[in-house]
Amino acid sequence: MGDFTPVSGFVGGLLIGLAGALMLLLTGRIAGISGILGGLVDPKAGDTGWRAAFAIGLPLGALAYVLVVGGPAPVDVLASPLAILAGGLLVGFGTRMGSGCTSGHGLCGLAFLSWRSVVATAVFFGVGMLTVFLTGHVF
Amino acid sequence: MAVLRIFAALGCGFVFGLGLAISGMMSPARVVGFLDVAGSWGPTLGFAMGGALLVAVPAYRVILGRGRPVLAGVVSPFPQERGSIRP
Repeated sequence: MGDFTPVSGFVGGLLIGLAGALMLLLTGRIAGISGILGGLVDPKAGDTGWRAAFAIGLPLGALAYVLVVGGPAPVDVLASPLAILAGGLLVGFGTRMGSGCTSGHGLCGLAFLSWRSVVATAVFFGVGMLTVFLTGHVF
Repeated sequence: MAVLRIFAALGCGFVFGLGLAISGMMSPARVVGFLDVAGSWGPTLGFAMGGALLVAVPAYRVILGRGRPVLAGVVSPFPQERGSIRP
């Protein structure tokens, strides 16, 4: 078995869930990152401030962790820049088409007990596993 | 109230990013590790997801039950409510 840090994974997850809950409690918005960023690409008057604030807060939170823990940021990238660009385009297209990403469907949508989000989450994890299988073990 | 909402979103983004970093899921290699079921599968993402839902599922129930958000007039429609598919 590979990567297995269940305690830090779980504690980080609790914070992610807390962030999603606070977002709904305070602003009435779901913490779907693709949707929040998408609204910045296609801006509407009076609807960009909170989006930009969330988008700024997200890397600041990660930066705070890196500063407190010290050392290089725990980010390992396996793919080539071209593959990342292609993957990013597909993620952007797919999350708009499917109305959400890992955070929007996988966290907020599941928390809302939305069947559409259950389907979306099962599909993107399933296709992700298939893609990793094909690119890592077949080709 | 608009300013408070912006600070709230900043704080929520911060906590979200902190959680992502603590869980290890800001590393693409670890996300791929969860998806690599035929290789050296790493289940950590599952624990992160479980922790997040453990908080979010009951919290969403309570928050949606109380009606209006603290810093906004109404809960914004969820994406699926814009379309024809409803739960």
